Amino acid sequence: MSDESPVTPNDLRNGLRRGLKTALADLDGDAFQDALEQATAAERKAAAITRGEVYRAWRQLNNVQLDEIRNQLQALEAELLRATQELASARAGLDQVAAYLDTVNCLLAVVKRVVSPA
Amino acid sequence: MNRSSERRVLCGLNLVVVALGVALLSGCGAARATRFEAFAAAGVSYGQARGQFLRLSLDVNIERDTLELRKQHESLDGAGRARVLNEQDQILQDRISILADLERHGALMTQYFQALARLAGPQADAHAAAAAQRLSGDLGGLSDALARKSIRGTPVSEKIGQVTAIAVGELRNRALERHLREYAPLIQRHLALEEAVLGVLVDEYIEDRKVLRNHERRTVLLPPFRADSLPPDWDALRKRYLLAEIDVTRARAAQEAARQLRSAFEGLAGGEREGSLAGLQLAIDRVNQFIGPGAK
Repeated sequence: MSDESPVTPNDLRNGLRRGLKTALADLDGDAFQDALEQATAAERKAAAITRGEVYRAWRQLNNVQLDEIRNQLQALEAELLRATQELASARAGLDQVAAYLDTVNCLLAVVKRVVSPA
Repeated sequence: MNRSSERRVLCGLNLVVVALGVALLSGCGAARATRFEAFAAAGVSYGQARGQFLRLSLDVNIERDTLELRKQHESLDGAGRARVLNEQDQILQDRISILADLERHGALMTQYFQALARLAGPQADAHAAAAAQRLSGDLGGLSDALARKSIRGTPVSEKIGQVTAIAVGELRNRALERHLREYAPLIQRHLALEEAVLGVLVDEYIEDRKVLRNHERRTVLLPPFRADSLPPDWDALRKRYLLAEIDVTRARAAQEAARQLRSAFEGLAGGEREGSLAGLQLAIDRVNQFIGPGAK
């Protein structure tokens, strides 16, 4: 039995993304670009088409990755809203202390007018 | 109010002063609330910087995408050009939709940090203290004896204000601890995902910028240098090109800010009572510097 953990689809996708990124960097590098200048028109055309395909695959994989994270974040939204509302309620509870004391103040002002001679 | 009632009130107040004074002397609650407040304020700043970075990353995505289309244009026939344009438009439209959702989600996160800052801040204590002081002033108006009383040399009205602020502060600290017990795993998960988002976007941003810069180097800098005579502005072009490299690497600040935010929250959730959040604030300042006018 192997101790190594199994490769997940996510691992494969990340590996592929890294591979495509490296391929694009190589295609953009001086060595390849200089070689391309000496290449035939057909070779240059093929290289440009391949580069486009690699580029789109890389971008699409990044979108897939971001889409997954977005979905996970959205799944947490209801709970995040609840957490925000509870913080606001706790703060409102503290404000009620001041509101209560102010109410008592008002009542005392009335009492003061009643018990104090004009 | 007769003298025996006044005595009971003063005696009760003294007990409250002693009990809450002990709580205050521990000093921990207040310091912890201050950390919560600083963390929440940093979270709000992070949200603003993150929003700007998202928009900047889309700008650079589109520039790179357009360059890639240009590079293919010559090599494709009409039908191929239409197909490639449709495919790349679709990829960018998907990206715009994802970023719009992430921005909307960022707004929810900012609301959370704002609510946390409001609860952790000292305003509620101050309002309650002021109200309590007004109340004791009115009590003093009802009774000259009470107005003349003091507790350890401090007038009753002032003491009531202090005690009320402490009591409200304690309520606030308990609310914060209760919140952490219930929601720390949610917020930690959230901040870890946030870090992952920034990881993908920053990596992509750096790659896009590298390709755009390399294109500039090969089309603007290299051809005149290969020629026999250099144009007079070539030196300035080269300097601008090389210095722009600094901005590309500065993009990592956005990812670092997300990491620091998660790490600061883990510290708070783990009961950390000391240490500063300077690292987090510094990281956010770096993002703000990066997304400033010199970013592109």
